[in-house]
Amino acid sequence: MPEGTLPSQGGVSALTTFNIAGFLTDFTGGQTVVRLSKSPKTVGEAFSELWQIYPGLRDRVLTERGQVRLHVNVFLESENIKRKDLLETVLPDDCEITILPAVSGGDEIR
Amino acid sequence: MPETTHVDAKPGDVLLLVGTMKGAFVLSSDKNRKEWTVGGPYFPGRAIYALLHDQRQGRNRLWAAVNSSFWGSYLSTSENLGRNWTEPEAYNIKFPEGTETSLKQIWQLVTGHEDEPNSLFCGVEPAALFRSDDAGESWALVQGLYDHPHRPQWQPGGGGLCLHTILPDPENKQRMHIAISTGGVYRTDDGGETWNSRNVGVRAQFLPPEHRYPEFGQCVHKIVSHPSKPERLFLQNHWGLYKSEDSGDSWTDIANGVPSDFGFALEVDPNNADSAYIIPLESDEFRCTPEAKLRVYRTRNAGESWEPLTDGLPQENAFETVLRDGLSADDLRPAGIYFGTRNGKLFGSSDAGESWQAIAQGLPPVVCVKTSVVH
Repeated sequence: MPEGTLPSQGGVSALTTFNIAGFLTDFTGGQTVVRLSKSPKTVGEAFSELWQIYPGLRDRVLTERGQVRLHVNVFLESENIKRKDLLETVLPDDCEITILPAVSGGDEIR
Repeated sequence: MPETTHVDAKPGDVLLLVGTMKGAFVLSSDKNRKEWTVGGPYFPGRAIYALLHDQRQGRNRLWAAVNSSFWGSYLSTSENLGRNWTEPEAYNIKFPEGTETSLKQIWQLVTGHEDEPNSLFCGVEPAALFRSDDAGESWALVQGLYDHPHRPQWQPGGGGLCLHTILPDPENKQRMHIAISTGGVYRTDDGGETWNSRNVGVRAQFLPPEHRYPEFGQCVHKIVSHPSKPERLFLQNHWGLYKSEDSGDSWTDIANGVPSDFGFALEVDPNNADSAYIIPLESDEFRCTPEAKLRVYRTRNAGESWEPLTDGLPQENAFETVLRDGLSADDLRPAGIYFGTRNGKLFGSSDAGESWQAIAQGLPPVVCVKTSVVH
C-alpha cells in the first residue's frame, strides 16, 4: 500500500496517521497513508496539517464553513466520530484517522 | 470505470451536451442532425446538472457543474471537447465568509450579456446567484439577491431550494430574470443590485385557496424567453403554464388544450418567438407522461393553442419524465429540438418537432440537455 510520509523533524517519529481511500487519493498523489510528524491535539488541528501537505483534500472533505461534509465519515481508530464534536475531538498519541465516504451518500434524482 | 470515448466537431456541427445523474456526455453531429457520435462518460458517478459551451471571443470551452453528494460541487472546464477537464484544487463556487451558508449543488450556468464576453452566471442551491466577470477565473456571490428580505421565507421544493434558471436580457444588460424553487421569479433592472418578485398571476397550488396567489413563494419549474422578444416569457409552474408579455410584470394562463399543466421542461424555438415546447407530466404525485404517451406539445401562436408532436415518439408504455433542463433547442433552420428522460433516453428532432428519432438509450437518468452549433 503506498504511503506518504511528511519528513520527520528532528528525529521525532510519526504520531498521527491518516488513511486516505478511493477518490481522495487523486489529491494525495496516490498515497493511501499519510503520516504527520507532528502530534496535533484535535482532529481539526490534524486536518489543518493534512491540508498543508495535500491542499486539494480540504474542499472535498470540508464545506466552505469548515464543517465535515454530510456524507463523509471520519473514524478515529475504529470509532466513527460523532459529527457534533468532530473537529474538537481530542487525539491520543499514535492514532489513526480514516476518512471515508458514508454509506448514506449516493445521488438522488431531483 | 467504463471506457471513455471522445468526439470531434468542425464549424457548423451541432453538439449536444447531456448531463446525467452519473456523468456527462457530449454528442456531435453534422448539420443534418441524423447521425450522432457519443463521447463520454465524463465525470463518471457525478451528477451533472449544468453544462455550457462558451464560444465567445474565439473560445471553445465546455463548462460542467460537477456535483457529488460525498465531495461537494465545483465547476470544471475543457478546452478540447471533453478530452481533458480541469479539477481545481480549491473549489471555485463558495459562499463567502459571513453568509453562514455552504454550497449544496450547482444547478445552472449561462453566459452573460453579449457586450460582456467574459461574464458568466451560476445558479446554486441553496438559492443564490454567482457571477464571474473574468471568464470564470473567479466568482462572486450576487449579494443583492442574497440579501433579499424574501430569502428567509423561500422553501425547498422536491428538488431542494435551488436557483435553477438565469435569463440575462439580450437587449438590456441591467436586466435579468431568475427563477427559484420555491421562491418564484425575480427580476433585476439595475445589474443585480436590487431584485423584485415577478409572480403576479402565478398560482401556488400547494397553498390554501385564499393564499394561492402570493407575492412570492411559487414553485416555478422553468422560465424561458426569446432572444428577439425578451419581454415575452413562458413559465412552466408546479401546476400552471403561463406567458408574460411585459417582462414578467404579469402572467396569464396559457394551458389551452394540454393534457396537464404540470411539468418541468420548457423551451422556445430560436427561430420563432411565437413557438414554444413543453413536455407535460400527469401530476405532482405521478410525474410521468400522461396516458403513458411521450408527447411534446408545441405552440406556434404564443400559447393560444398547443399541438401534440408524436411522430417517432413511443405512444404506449412510455412512463417518462423530462426534468427542468432536459429540453433544449439549437438555432439552425429548422430548429433542432432535443430532450432526455429520467429513464436515460435521448430524443431529437431536426425539423422543429415534426418528427423525432431516438438518439441514445440506456444513459443514466438525464437531468440536463444543452445544444451548441460550433462556430
